[in-house]
Amino acid sequence: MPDVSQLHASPRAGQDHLVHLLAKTAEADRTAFQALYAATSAKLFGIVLRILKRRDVAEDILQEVYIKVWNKARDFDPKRASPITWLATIARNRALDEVRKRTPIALEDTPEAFEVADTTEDVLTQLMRSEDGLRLKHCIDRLEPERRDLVIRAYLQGDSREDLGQRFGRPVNTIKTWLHRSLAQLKQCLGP
Amino acid sequence: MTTPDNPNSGDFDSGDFDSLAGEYVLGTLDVAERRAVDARRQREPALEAAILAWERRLAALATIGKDIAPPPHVFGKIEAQLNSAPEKTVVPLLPRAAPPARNRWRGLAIAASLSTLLLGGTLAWRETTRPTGQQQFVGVFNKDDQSPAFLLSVDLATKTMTVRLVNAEKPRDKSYQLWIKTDAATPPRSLGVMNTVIDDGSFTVTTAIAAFEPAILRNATFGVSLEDLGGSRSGRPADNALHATLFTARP
Repeated sequence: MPDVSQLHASPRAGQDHLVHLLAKTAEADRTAFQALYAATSAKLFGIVLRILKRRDVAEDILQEVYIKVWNKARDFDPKRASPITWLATIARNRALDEVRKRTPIALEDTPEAFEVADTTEDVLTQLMRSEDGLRLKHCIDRLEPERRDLVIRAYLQGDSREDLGQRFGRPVNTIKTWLHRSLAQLKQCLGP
Repeated sequence: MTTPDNPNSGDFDSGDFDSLAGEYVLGTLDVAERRAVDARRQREPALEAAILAWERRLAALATIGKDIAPPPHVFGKIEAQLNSAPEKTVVPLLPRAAPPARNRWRGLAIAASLSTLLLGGTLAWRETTRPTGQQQFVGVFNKDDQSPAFLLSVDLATKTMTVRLVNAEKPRDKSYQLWIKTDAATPPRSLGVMNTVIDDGSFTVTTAIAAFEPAILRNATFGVSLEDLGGSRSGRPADNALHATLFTARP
């Protein structure tokens, strides 16, 4: 007899539950929406705060993200993405739109930035938890070390080319070239 | 084939979808480049496909990182916003599954170069300042000074859409037809044929857009095509369509 608690804890069951909640949200079911928020808001807040670095701004953006989820829930197609990836993509895109509009802020003014930053090694370790993650890790590992950091910082911290230029002490054009070469290498390794 | 590059796309070659799409997903484009891609992906299936492919490739990174619980008042604000919004209408108008490729907007790739020019140069929009909090958006379909231009206005409060022929007369043996394309994977839907031009040269579609949510309308691409009298018989727009989008504006 299967252990019920383990069943609920399995990623597959969690994923099915989120699919169900999104489907109910698409039907304007507020209770399902609240459950969806309860299950996913810490993940999405982590994502937007890591990019935006400021709690007040991240809270406003999280609010917008969930309004968008409410309005767009019926666009979610479980055949195309997992629910958490779909939600994370909405959150990242909104946070990136916002951070690009804002003037850069000094890290000293944003203690939260330290709280949420992961090192490249942390990230690569976390990737090893899933099959897709292992594949991506394998391909990121094949990049030169500096470019590994570049790709991971860009994706997770939302660093702009200018931010990356300062961090790596290179002109923006060099960063752009590095980005394009890294992307080409990743694509070659990961496939179409 | 080369497509005129959008001035906002920086120095990306328009055929270089992969670098553009990859940087879009990575998040390193600047604000103007991001906006240009957001507009282009609505009407360029190849770019949309490249973006989705990059999202898939990097998906394992999307959920990495520490979870941080937001403060409790955030959900209260979300609920308050939902309570103040007009009631959500759920009408299953848009097919959920991606359509087969043959159903895609024919000629979209060709039209894309035109619409890139349109959006880069002549798309005008404004939000009227009505004291009632109603929203109205305007988009202009215009190829050049000599070609017909259409003014599209959408009133989200009353769910009405008006298309006005600005500088040309309706040809006797042809009809203009209005279309909406809500996302890259869904074929354009007809919003009506402009064969009932009223006195002031405008044509109003009221019923067709009542079924679309404001958020979908704001992100949609609209098209006006010149068709045989009475409208497209194939159910798809002719390749000559002019396009416009409305911008998301806040009340």
